[in-house]
Amino acid sequence: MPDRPNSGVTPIRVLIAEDEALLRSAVAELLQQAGGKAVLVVRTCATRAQALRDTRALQPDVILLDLRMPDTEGRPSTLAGSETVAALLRQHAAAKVICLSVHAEAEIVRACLEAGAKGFLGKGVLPAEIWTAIRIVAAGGQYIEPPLRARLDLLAAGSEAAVRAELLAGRRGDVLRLLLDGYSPSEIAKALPISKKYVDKKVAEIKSILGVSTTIRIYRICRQLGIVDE
Amino acid sequence: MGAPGTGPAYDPERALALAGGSSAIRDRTLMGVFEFLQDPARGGRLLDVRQYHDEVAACYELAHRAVGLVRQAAMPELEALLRALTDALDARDLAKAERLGLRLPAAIDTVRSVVSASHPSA
Repeated sequence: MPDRPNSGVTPIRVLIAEDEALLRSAVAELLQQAGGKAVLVVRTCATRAQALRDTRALQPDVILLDLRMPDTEGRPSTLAGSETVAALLRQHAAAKVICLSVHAEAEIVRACLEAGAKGFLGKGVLPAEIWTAIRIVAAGGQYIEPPLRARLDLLAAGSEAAVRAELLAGRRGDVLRLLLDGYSPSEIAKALPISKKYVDKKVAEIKSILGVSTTIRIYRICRQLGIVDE
Repeated sequence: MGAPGTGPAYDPERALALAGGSSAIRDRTLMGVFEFLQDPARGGRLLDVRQYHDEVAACYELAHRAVGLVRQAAMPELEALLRALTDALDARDLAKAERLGLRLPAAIDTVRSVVSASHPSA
């Protein structure tokens, strides 16, 4: 539901830096839809050079930053996400940067936060969550997508290794490895071989350990834990 | 078949939610994703697995972009397959990348059929 502020309220000025045209226009449109008059998209940028230049010129309150921006048109990204965050803040120190990334590993999130980012979202979040993040960081807070926050807390607690070990123990580990390789529960049952019911039980255990409800979320968190491709 | 263990080929409810409830935005996203995957200069390059050996960095970038797009379009199976491909290319495990890439055409066909059935008028 769009906010309907009094006409005197100054909108939050947002710059969107995203190289994929489809996502860039969709985010701009959805943000305007979610925030109504409380948000103003001042510019959308397709390259890092453009984002740096426009940040300096327009001094946005909030920057939504795709971490893998090409340097210029047709030239791939050469800087790490955290370096881009720092570069943007050198152009406008008061800007609040929210990072958007497909691969939101805990290490990357932490590096970006240390570089001065105030928010971090995985791609494919709902428009309402983007708007929530913008409002929170514009007000001086920090917003990290809840599953990412949970990963960071785990890392801070030094318990990632314990979670990895628990996930990969015994048959649960066998099931998980095949699941991450794209096998369906029926295919896993056939490959191991064990009953489909037993596979379902192991998948339920994995979901419980990770606190997730879908298989795609298992994949995402296991990637963050460094289990994928091990 | 794409990555059958990872969820449905297409989640129409999530696709609409990601589009802020706007079927027009959702349809633009879906069309844009299929255009990207078909375009021989963009995502379509991923269908030619021979390119992985000569253009591994470029193919990694394309696979990475494709993951972001299909996630926005709520296509979990294809997302998982492309993520696995991205990881394999990143690790320079080209044999695995090739195996995964060979599964892409069927995975795309599957999701296209499911999307067409979900939105026949779109």
